[in-house]
This record gives sequence, C-alpha cells and structure tokens, in this order.
Amino acid sequence: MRVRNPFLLLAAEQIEFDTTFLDLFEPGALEVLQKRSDSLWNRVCIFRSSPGGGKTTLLRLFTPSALKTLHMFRDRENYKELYNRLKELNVLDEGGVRLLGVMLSCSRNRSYAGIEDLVFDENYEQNINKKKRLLFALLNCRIIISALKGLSELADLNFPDELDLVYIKSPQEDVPLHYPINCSGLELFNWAQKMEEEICSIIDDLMPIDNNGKLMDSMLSSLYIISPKNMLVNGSQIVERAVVMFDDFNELTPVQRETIMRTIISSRPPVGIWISERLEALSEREVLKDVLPGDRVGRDFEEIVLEKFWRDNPSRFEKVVLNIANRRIKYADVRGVSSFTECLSDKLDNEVWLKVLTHVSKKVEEKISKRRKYQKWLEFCKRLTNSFKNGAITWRALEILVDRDSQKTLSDFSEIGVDKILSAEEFTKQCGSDVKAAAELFISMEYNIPYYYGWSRIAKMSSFNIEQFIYLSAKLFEEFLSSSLISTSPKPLTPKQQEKILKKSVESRLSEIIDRMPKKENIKRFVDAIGNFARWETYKPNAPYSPGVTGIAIEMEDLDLLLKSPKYEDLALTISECIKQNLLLPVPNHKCKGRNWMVLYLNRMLCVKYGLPLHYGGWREKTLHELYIWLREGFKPKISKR
Amino acid sequence: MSSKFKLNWENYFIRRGGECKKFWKMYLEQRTETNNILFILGIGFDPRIDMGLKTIIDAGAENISCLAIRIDEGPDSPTKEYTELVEENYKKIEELVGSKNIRDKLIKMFDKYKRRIGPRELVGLLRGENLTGYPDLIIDVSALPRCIFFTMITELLKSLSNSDNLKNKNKNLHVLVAENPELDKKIKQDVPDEEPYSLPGFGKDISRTSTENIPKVWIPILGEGKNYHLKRIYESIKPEEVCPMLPFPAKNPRRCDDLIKEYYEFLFDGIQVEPKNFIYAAEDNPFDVYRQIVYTAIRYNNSLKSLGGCITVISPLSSKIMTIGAAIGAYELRKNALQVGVLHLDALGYSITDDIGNLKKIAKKSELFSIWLSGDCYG
Repeated sequence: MRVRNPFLLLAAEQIEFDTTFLDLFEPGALEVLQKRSDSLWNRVCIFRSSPGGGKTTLLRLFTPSALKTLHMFRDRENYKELYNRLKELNVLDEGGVRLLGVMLSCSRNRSYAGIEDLVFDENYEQNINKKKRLLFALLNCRIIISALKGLSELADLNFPDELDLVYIKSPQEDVPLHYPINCSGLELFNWAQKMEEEICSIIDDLMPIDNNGKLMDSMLSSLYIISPKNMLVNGSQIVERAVVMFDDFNELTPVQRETIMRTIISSRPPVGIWISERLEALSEREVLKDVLPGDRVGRDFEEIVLEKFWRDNPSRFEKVVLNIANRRIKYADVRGVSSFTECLSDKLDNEVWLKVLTHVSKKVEEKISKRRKYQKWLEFCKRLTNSFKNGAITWRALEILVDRDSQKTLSDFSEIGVDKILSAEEFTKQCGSDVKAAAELFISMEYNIPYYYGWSRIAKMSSFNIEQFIYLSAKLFEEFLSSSLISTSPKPLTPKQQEKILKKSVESRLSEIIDRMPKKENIKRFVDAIGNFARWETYKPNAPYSPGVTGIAIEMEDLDLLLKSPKYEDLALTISECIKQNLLLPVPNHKCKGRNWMVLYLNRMLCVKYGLPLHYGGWREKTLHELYIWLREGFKPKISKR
Repeated sequence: MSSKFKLNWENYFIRRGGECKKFWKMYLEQRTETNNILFILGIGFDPRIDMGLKTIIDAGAENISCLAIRIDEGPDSPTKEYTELVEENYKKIEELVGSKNIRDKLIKMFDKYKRRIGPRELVGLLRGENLTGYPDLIIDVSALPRCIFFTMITELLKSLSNSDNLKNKNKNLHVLVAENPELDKKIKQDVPDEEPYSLPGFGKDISRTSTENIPKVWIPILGEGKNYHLKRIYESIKPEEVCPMLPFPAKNPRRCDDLIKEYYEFLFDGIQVEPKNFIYAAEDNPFDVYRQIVYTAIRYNNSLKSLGGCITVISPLSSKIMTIGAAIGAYELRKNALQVGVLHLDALGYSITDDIGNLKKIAKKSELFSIWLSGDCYG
C-alpha cells in the first residue's frame, strides 16, 4: 500500500488490515507494560490518557487476529522486535499465541449507556438492581461471543461453524450460571447470540422487559467461563492466560463504571482485566481529586497514565515517536526518503548566526566593559572558539548572568559598593544548560530566528501525545510533499519553513480544540492568562526560571476548596476541562518547598503559541484566588518597580 | 435490485414554495371528516418557526391542536442566549392558533451526567400521546434539532404502520420544512458531542458483538463544517465501505466540489475512499436521498450475501430536507428487515453568527416544502 501523506491515515487502531497495523505499531510503545509484566495478567490494569494517547492502539495489539498475524510473520525483519517484546511478556512463543485477548468496546453505540433510560420497576431500588443485572447479562453475552471468536481465530477454526470442536467446561469456582455449560462452544455461542439480540432490542426500542429475569445476571460470571482451562479445543487447552480489555470505559455512565469496577475488584476473576479510559468523560471531581492523585495504585488496581509514563521517560518517547514517523514514511508515495529526519533540516545558516554573534557580543561588551567585576567573564567569552551559534548563545547567557548578578547586588545591601571580580570558573559554573537554553530562546525572539524546528523539538511539542505528534508531522510532511513537486530531488524543510508551518498548525489545532469545549470563552481567557503569565516570567531580563516558565501549580490541599466552594465552580470546571482536552498536563503530588503541589503544565503546543521553551520543570505557584481573577479578567502583568 | 423489496415511496408526493399553499387549500377542501390536525413543532429561536403553520392556516385549516416541543439543553447551552427570541416565536404561534390549542412538552436533551437522552425521551413522549383523534398529523421540522425530528418521523411512521390503534385508520402524516441554506449557514452548532450515538430504533444492528463480522457500509450525507463529526463517527463504526453522499443537483452547482475540497484530507488521505463510491442525491428532494440510500443498501446486501449481507450505517450531516430522506430511507430498510443503523453526532446547542435583524430578513427568503409521507395518497 502506498499513500500520499501517510501521517494523515487515521490512527493505527482504525487500520483495517492486521499487517498494516503491525507495520505501523512501534514496539517501543510496549515499554509502558514491561515494568508491570507480573501484574498484567492477574489484576485490574487501568490505562488512562487524554484523547490520542495511544490506548486503543495498544489494546488492539493483544487481540487474537493481531497476535496470530504477528506469530505467522515473526521471521520478518520488521516484526522481530515486536515479537521479542511480546515474547518477554509471555504473550506468544515459537509454539504459538499464549494469550486470549478479549476486547470489548464500551462506546456509546454499544448500547450499554442506553440501559439507564429503561424503566423496569416503579420501585427505585428494584429498578436500579434490574438495570445492573441487565448490564451484566449484556456484558456476559458479549464477553462469551468475543472469547469464542478469538479462540476460533487462534485455533484456526471457522467461526462460528466449527465451534462444535470447542468444549466449555464448568468452572471450578462457585459461580451462579444461567447459561449452557459442559456443552459445545457452538451451543454456548448460539445462546449468547440470541440473548444479546434480545437485550439489544429491548434497549434500542425502549421496550419493557417481561421474561421473569431470564435476561438478567447477578454477576460477571462469563469471566470464569472464558478462563483458558475451561475452554478446550479438541480436548486441549490452547492458551495459558486470558485478558478482557474494556475499551472506551469512560463512555459508560458513572453508575455503570462504578458497578463494574466494584464487581471485578471484589470477585477477583481468574482472568486479567484491562480498562482503558479517557479523562474527558470524567467529572471535575474525578479528574481533579479521584483520578489524578492516584494513591490507590498497586492496591486495588494498577494505573497506567500514558502521558505520565512518557513524561518520566522523555528520551524513550522521542525514540518511539521517531520510529512511528519512520514506519509511516515507508508507506509514503515519495522516492528517496526513508526516515522522517530526512524531511527536516536542523541546521540554520551559519551566516545568520555570525550576524547574531557579532551583534550580541558588541552589545554585551558595551554594556559591561566598564564593570571591573565582570572583566574575567568578558575575557572568557572573547576567547571562545565555539561555533557561531554556541558563541552567540554564550554571549547572550553572559548578559543574563550579569542581569542576575545586578539584581542580586541590588537586593543584598552587603554587596553594595563592593565590586569583587568574578572568576571565569564562576561564569562556567553559573552558565549551565538552563541559562544557555534561555539565551537561545531570547536570541530567537530578539533576532527573529527560528526556534521551533528540528526533530527533537517537534517530538517535545507533541506533549507525550501520539495523535498530536502525528498531526504536527502530517502538516510538515504535506509541505515537504509540495516542495518535492517543484524540485527534481526532495529537499528537507528549512528551520524557517518548519517553524512557520508548526506555528500555523498549532494555532489551528488549538482553536479547533477550544471551539469544541463548553464555556469556551472562559477556557480561552484562562489558557491565555497562563500563557501570557508564563511569557512575562520567562522573558524577564535575568531569566529567573531559566529556561522559562511553562506551567503553574496549586497546592494539593486547595483541591477540596476548589471543588466545594461555589465561588470556584467555574474555575474547577475550566481546569478539569483543560486537563481532559490535554491543554493542561497535570502532575499531582509534586513535592516542593515542603509542600505538596498539583503542577499544571501547558500543552507544548501552547508553549509554541506563547513563545515559550519546551522544557518541563519551570512552574510558579498560584493561589486559587489568583486563578479566579485570571479566569474573570485575564492576566495583567505587575508593573516592574525596577 | 432484490425482487422482494418494494419501494414504499417509489411514487411520492412533495410540494414546494407557492405550490404548498395551493395544495393545502385543495387538500383541506377535499377532507370530508372533521379536520382535526395535530401540528407538532419545535419552539426555538429559528425565525422560520411559523412559516408552515401560517401556510396551512391561510389555506383554511381549522381545529389545529399544537404540540409544542421545547428542548432543554441544560444551563451551559449556547442556545440559552436566545431565550427572548424563543419566547417571541412562541407568541407568534399563540397568535396563530390561540393559547388554549397549544400543549407544551419539554424534552430534556441531557441527563445529569451530560449524556444525550433527548431522542429517547421523545420516544416516551410520543408513545404517551393519544393520536387516534387526529386524521392528520403534521410535523414542522423547521425549528427542531435533527436528532429529534429524525426520531419523530421514524417513530410516527412505525406507529402508523404497526400500532393496533393507528394502522389502517387512514391517518395522514405530513412533514413541513422551511429550507433556507443561507440561513442555515448563519446558525452554527456549538460544542459538538464527544461521542456519536445511535438514534432510537437504529442502534441494535450496529451495537451487537455477534454481528461484528458483518461488513458495515457507511453512508455519511455530507454537509458543510462537519469534519470533526465525520472523523468521530468513522472512528466509532470502523466501516468496511464508505459511500459518501453528495448533494447533486444543487442550487450551487459547485457545492459538491466545495464539499470534496473541504473533506479531501479526511476522505482521500485519512480513510482512502474509492472515488467510485460517491453517491449523489438532489439537495431539495428527500425522496431522491431515500432512493439512493435504499438502492445502495440493496446493492451491497446482494453483493455481500455470502458474508451475511451488510449493515448500512447512515449519518445525516447535511440539510434538514436531506435528513428527512435519510429518516425514511432508514425506516424503509428496517421495515424490510435489512440491517441498518443511524449514527449521529450532535452539539450542546446552537448559536447565531449574524445579528438577529439580519437573520429575520434572510428568513423571509425561506422556501417551504410540504412532504406527504403516509396516508391517502399512498393507497
């Protein structure tokens, strides 16, 4: 398959053919599972992320058809790494696939949420109980159907005709069962199919239920039936473990989510349970208080927040997304390009840097040449034989450090009048990578030099979200394709072209996201306030939080007040909506200065919009009242007393 | 085409513009029994709200009982801004039929968890209505949201043909719609839903796990500004075939080209639609939309017979008049036991992108369509 712009292909989980899906799946994405390989198959694992985090793609890999295809083509060079990683997870081996993955979508069009609209009983409690039992019955039918289908796939049986070769054994556990057992898979399938049809008709047509509870179940007993030892093919157990994967779990109603979770955790079924959910369907309370702090991890369930995992392992993320890009490039209908990095130039013209170096060095020299205190620093910079770029950055860093020192002197009365000469060693000590990063950013703004370009920064701009990365790459690749049309040989995009495209794409993506959000005026004002505040702090001449501020933080203990006080109702809603839509990246329970913070970093696309660096770590604490004012009036910078 | 399938609307009845009044005058004169009319309309801010009602009153209609549907989209709805306009419109209706002939019914669009329940609430409301005393049922869809009037049409058609109280009782079902593409462009959907959902009665075939192996053929009816909707619906159903429907012939002969341009990235780069899969239906004829949907469904079902046929999934994302065609198409497929689903994506509310005075001026250029869906003329 050859396509014009492979980055525009919809997400990998939408891709119809397993081979294409596997071609595009980057094995590095499995690192999120590898640290937890022991608990994956016997506990509840919850995968959370904002939209586009890669949850469904990850789950699809564990479906029987994807695993079977991978096993079949395991000797292919491009599948070897994936095969080996899955082998380490005991998912497959030379003998075949060892895992039965049962994937169930809980999306709105699967009718689960519609159960809530039915009225079975005038008694409130009875009605709730009956709805719960209908939900379990529907889930049981679907788990059984999907498991039988998956088993057929793994055992090369025609589905459903050859299900008579499958034997369903009664589980050893004491479980109430309302369905055929000690029978053929075909018999069980026919029963489940009929039941599912009846239940779906009731939900879809809003019909009353009148069959004496025949369509109801008191628990998720199917989880016991699909245990590998209870489903035999030609008399033998063909897999070692099973996992039921509930995708789009957030699309169930809150009552249903809670019911299912409680039932699963209390019944401890003999199969693994994976749940994937977006943050976006959760309430403000769930987002801010229940889900993010996540102290329950490891007790009742494992919780894997994908963005958090990648944030803790940023270099791995960069590697993973570069590989994703390269895998997509292979599908591109353009000759002579084998890697995404070949489409992007990360070199700025030396002439440009020479001009900047000349100008910055002259400016800084004029500024400090009469100050004895900085003579050694000045001499150090003059002796530099670095590249033009590094030279310019060091000179600009010198200016920042001088500004810092002057500020310090002003605030420290003991230093007034004392012009102690600062050593070159002191300069190299103070001129760390953070100051140099700030200097580069300052230069890019002052001299209109591209800053947002090159492979590594594009990876950072994706805010650990794979869909966001693919979106930005698609826009760059589109431009690359256009420029290839008018050239005999494809030329990489210059940094200037890259920055122009990225800024335009970021603007359009952000306005698309915000336009879809409720109370969008509030969202715009709030995000704008954080962005402008961060910019104001970042571009202070002494770069106090070098390389810059890209987030704010509120105290964890303020969360209760945020959620309970009517005054902060709009603020709580705005913050939680921003988190759900990935405009703000939350880092809960961050300890600093003896206190516990919820840091809210701007999505890195917002950093591009407000001209901020792409680093993490620079944040400023804010009170709820300050944020409340921002939400109402926006950010107004304080007039400097200096 | 399958020989078993008989098109219910092979011959159809539709009148437009000035012809509507003439038709209603003649129709009402020919009625022998008491002309009790149940007139169902939405109470919203759309200035076209009274066009249909005024036309039939001018044509001589009496004994009109109005069922006025008010939609509650919750406190965050952008529509809240236009409460004054809504009340102004309500007064217009009161003046036309008298306040004692109006019954207000409120439909809550969302439950407390912000889940869309409006269409399912409507089903309950319609099932609770006693329709036996009305030989004529008229739905004016001009100020009703798509998900509501789609459900209303399919639910009433079902009741008229299946319900013991109503079938074979010579009931007539008419649909009125005031079309005005210029005005439609000024009314913008705000805050689209995150997730598509199926409309009542059209969910079971797409929701079942046991039918997952059956290929899905998706017919999105393309209208402007629906890129997000298309993407979300596509992701939700993952169809094997996509047959986008384009409005042709259309008043603006370049409309198809404009739509293709708007969705080029999604259709050709994103999901790789085969150019031969496009289907065309007249933008001002719901029966053409209906026929194209039914023909496409039959063709695919015949071709895919050995795989268990196909599930046709319809997404009406275009004008109201085309949505009426989608509703009767979906109804007909279901009635003939073909597997069909309707997957839709709505918005929290609507907002006006022009000043209200201008909107009212534009509304005067609207063209009324009168569509007779069931009753005497179909024998």
